[in-house]
Amino acid sequence: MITSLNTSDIYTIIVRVADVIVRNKDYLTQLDAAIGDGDHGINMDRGFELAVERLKQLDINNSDIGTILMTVANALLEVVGGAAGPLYGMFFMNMATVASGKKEVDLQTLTTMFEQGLRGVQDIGGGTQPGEKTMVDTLYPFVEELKKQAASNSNDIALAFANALKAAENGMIATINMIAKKGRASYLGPRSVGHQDPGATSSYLILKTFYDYIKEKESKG
Amino acid sequence: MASLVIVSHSRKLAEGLKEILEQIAKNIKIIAIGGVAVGKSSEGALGSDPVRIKETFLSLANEDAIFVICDFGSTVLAVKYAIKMLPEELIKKIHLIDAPLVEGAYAAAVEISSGSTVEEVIKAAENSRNFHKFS
Repeated sequence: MITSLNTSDIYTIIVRVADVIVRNKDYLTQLDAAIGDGDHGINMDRGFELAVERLKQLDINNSDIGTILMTVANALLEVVGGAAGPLYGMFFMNMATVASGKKEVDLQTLTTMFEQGLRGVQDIGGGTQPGEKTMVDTLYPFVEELKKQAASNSNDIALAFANALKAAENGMIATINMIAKKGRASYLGPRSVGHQDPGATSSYLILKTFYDYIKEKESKG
Repeated sequence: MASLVIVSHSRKLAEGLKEILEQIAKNIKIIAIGGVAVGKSSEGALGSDPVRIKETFLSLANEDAIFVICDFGSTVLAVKYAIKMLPEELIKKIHLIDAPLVEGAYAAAVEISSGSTVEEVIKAAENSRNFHKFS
């Protein structure tokens, strides 16, 4: 059973997120072209490419999880260019603040990290709530489920993330039938219905990468 | 003195608007921020650069008031992020204009260059959304 993640785990997860984003670059851009300005995949890829480049210059053995996540936040803020820059920038920055000075985090701390990350996204987005066809539709149910899991099963990270990811996936899929209330897509009004939100999708891909890594680590024992 | 910061997804849009405003407000500092740097290209891409916005605000620390107007979407988020990262005393000097970009910036520039109060600048700029062109 996995009961904690360390600096090296988080580093590997971020490197894998960058890989997942580059493989889904066209998919995210297509989703964004349908209801936005069509640059989400390109922007996210630009951000994570720089993040990994910067991470490779760090001495991972002497870094804490906060440093890793803050490096990601700063890279995204610098080069993403779209709304995803400040949104994911605040997400990772708030996670970094919780993980500051920590080289190992348990389920309780991970839950607080994601909870604070979500709060940063909602805050910078102007009080974004679920149901507005944004990344919050993925992140909010994920965090709610993680909180529930952390309160009940206390320390099994793989089980908690499996359940939380399911909730996140349902949230992402639910954006298809929503009318966009935020960002460029909101100009489309009801015409935004029928399209899955690109931000909700990139959030899901990031969360799934966390889970896939945790599952793999667990299966290796 | 007060200055006006224009933030757009497009460098050309921000600089073009600055050019128009400078015709009628020669005595104020107008800063145009547009686009995001991509690699080593000086042209950049459409988008917003929160770090550059933050640095611009820091460079204006000696101004009495900093008025900010932006186009929409990510520039709004980028401005909000940039402000979060500033020291308290500088945040107090920043005044966000919630108005259409061109009309709001024009009204604000007229008021700032006439020495109007912060409230007068904001009111005139935000009233610009009711400005009719063909009626």
